Amino acid sequence: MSASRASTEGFQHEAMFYRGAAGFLAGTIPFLREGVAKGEAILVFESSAKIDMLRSELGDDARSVEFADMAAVGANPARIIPAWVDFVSRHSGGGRGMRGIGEPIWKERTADQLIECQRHESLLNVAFSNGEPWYLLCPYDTEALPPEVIEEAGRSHKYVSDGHAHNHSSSFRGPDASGAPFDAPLPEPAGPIRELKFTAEDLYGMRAIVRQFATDSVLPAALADDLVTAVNEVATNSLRHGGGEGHLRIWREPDKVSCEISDGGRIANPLVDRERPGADIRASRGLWLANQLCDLIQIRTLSSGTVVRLHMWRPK
Amino acid sequence: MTLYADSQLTISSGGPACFTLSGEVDAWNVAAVTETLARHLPPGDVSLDLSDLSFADVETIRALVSLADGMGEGRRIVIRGLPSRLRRVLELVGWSNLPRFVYESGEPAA
Repeated sequence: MSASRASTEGFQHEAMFYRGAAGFLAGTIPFLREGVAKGEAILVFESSAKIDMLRSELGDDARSVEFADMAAVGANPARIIPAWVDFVSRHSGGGRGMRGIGEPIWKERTADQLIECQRHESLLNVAFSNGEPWYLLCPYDTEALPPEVIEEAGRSHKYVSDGHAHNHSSSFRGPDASGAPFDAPLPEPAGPIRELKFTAEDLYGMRAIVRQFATDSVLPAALADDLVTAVNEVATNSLRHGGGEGHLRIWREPDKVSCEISDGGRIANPLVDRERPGADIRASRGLWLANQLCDLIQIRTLSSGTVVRLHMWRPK
Repeated sequence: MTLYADSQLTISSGGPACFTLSGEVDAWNVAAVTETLARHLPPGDVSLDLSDLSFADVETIRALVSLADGMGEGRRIVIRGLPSRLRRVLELVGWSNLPRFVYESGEPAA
């Protein structure tokens, strides 16, 4: 590819590497103006500071662009794909092109969040590769982010650019492999772990343990309730799909309370936790609900079975 | 009159078409709950008082919908005292407007 952007192919997923505010604007403003000129539907998920920058630079053109705060939409990165799915389904079939900007990774992301943001970037290829054509530009701040994050962006995006030249990413893992690059075991928690094996009759006691542990860890009651509800749903999945029993571990770290449910089941659909449940009353809703209630969910299907971690940040 | 009781839940009836669920429903007892309600269903709409239901999972809601679907054309479950926690769950999973459920005293799910 060259400086001109093709928009006839399917899902165009491009990592845009930039340096500083000037580099950010140099890469995003022409992209947005091109979309405005073509009358496309445009949605931007960015930090509020960057939204302010874009608005002021775009002037009147900003009225043709929809903005939303990535800190809110992407607080849990698993909620970003459903937001893009909503955008695409709102505008598809209307004859207008579609484009977006989404920057899910910034330097304050914790290690757990970062890996799930990277998983999210890869899963975008699974979610959109066979659907409507649209163009998603993902800015990466090369001054703030470590080199391995920039390298992974090359693997999760079909295209890379520096804001001027656009190229195929030679390291792109491809849409087919984008669903399962993260089946490495999660890091072992440091510090004491409370654990128990459970079957259906233990759910009641398990909820009490999780609630107590969460409140002892100074989670406010509403968040403790959210965690209990989410853990119960994931544990219920173990009972129904994971062999009728499971294993709970719970621990706290300085910034969060974490619960882990493991069982002998296998999850085949990499988007299982981020597909908005449809009208069918029988459709599974547990993992979707967990993602709406918790700050971060990590799902891994390993040779030994499935592991789901649920994290809740402790108030600062 | 108590229709059902286990270590975490009691179902009582306060009239022919009015049931009260007190306690917690989960995968362990949800089948017993729907069986009990199905056995005592009168003709017409049914009223469920959930104000003392301190926990119910997604499967519980699904079971109540199936129960309502089995009641026949046009019959509904009138829910009284929907706990805020359950309201939040209904909203998050896209079940704010289940056709068979009616919420008493102007308390829609969302």
